[in-house]
Amino acid sequence: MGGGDAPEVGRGVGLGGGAGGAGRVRGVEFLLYYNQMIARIRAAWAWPGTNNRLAVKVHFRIADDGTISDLRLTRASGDESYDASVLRAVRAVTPLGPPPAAHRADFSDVELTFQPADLKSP
Amino acid sequence: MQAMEKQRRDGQGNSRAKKMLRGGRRPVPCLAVVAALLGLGATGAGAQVRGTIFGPGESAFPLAVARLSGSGGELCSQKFGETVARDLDLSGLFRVTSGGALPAVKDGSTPETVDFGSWSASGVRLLVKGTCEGAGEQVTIEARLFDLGERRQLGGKRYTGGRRELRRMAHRFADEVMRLVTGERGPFDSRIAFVSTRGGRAKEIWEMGFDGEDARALTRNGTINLSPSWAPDRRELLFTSYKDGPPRLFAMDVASGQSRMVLQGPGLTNGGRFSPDGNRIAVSREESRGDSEIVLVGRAGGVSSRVTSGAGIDVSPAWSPDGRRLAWCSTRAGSPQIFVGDAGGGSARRVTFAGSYNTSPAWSPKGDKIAYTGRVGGRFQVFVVPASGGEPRQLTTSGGDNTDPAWSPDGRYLLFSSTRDGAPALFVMDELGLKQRQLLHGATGDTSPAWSTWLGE
Repeated sequence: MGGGDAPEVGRGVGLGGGAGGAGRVRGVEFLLYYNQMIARIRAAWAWPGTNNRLAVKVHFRIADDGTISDLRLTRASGDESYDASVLRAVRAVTPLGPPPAAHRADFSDVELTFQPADLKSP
Repeated sequence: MQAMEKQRRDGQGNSRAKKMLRGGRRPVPCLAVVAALLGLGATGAGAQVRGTIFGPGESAFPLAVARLSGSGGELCSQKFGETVARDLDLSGLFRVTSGGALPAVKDGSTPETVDFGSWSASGVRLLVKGTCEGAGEQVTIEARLFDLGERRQLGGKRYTGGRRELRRMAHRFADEVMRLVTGERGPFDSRIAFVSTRGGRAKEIWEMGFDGEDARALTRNGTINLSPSWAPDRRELLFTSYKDGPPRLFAMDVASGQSRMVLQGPGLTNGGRFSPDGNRIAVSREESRGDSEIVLVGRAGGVSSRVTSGAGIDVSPAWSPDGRRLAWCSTRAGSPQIFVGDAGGGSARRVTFAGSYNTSPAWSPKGDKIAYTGRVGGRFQVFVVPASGGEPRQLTTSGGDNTDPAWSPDGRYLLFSSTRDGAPALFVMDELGLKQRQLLHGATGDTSPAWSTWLGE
């Protein structure tokens, strides 16, 4: 897989900065879909644990009809229940809507990194 | 070739983006567009689309507890279900729903009895479902946990016992649900000892389950009894009592209620704690007027060695889980601060530096943290500090005093006493200070909690 040098721009959902891919400029149509994908997966992700050092990578494809397939863990955290929560979140959102026609090839090859937000004091 | 194609496509996307902005057809987050137009200078192969999701959208799993079916009756279902729901709710890991808004549930506990389709719109992710069989005093509970999204059973347990043990079975199943979901067993199959004025004005030692069931007074001597602490096997409780005049250290047999004196003065004797192997007791003893030292005593009594000596008051010892070290409160540096040292004695290392009054250390069963009470702005609050030293983290911020933290057997929760609502009451929170909740509604006058180890294996 590789590509560990993806820019991590911005925090949280909606900035779309993480959609770097191969460093190309992408349009609003792309971002709208991308942001929707991120937001839906994030909303479906439940992880009540308290370990804030775990990062997990998953890889999957979104078919033209929006179905998610070929989901696999490309970097495990070492904590099975945490990995399972991530896989569960991605599976929970299928099918997403169809990706924009011009970006179908892009969304056939998606890699997402999941990491817990910084923990704040109460 | 491919790269050129991508370039072209992106160029189109770019101009479309500008058009859309001008036309203002749809509200688009400005930052997102800026990020897109700037382009992101990544190189490298890999996926076409990459992203990072910071933080889960939910910090609690939506979970439903369905009514148990079977010949055991409504009361069995209710008692078990209520206890499981309450434990899981207090865990902070689940958002527990029950009642009428949920889809109807078929009788039985097997996966075939779960209509996964009917749950898909409910938002509920996990389902507890099962049976209670047995018309007489003896009942058998079969309970399972289902992942509604994945449409599969995560696990299940069968318990057989008397109806009086229903809550215990429920606590054990709640612990199992936590294990299935997080990989670590929950803390509910345990008991809590505490000091209370429930029975009147005297401070007596009490004992109860996590949900307050079977609460009973262990001492009834009408005087002052303080600082309870469980033996690792839960058969005995250490406490300090004024029942015979000057405060002395006693050990009580929990089953019989009989207590024996472990250590007497001359002066104040307080804060006895069993070592993790149960063979030794660390306690502070007033050796000369106004100067207390930490000493080690055998289980049967009799001082075996000294941990501290010299100037300054040393009180409130707490064992590390490996039994090699102790944390305690010492005034050797002027103000009361937390120190850590070898249980065999010798030099001690100071671990708290902020604040002018830090006391009541409690060493996490995981070994990495020490919780304690510290004074901030005239009020006491609960803190944790890495056992190896470092930045403390303040867990409570409420009004009133928050004192006497005690760890759960799994090291994920802390019980403490708080006067945030007026009269002192027991509260529970997770190790980050989140999800602070009063343990029992309506119960006041409770202080100084001690959380036992697990009752079963």
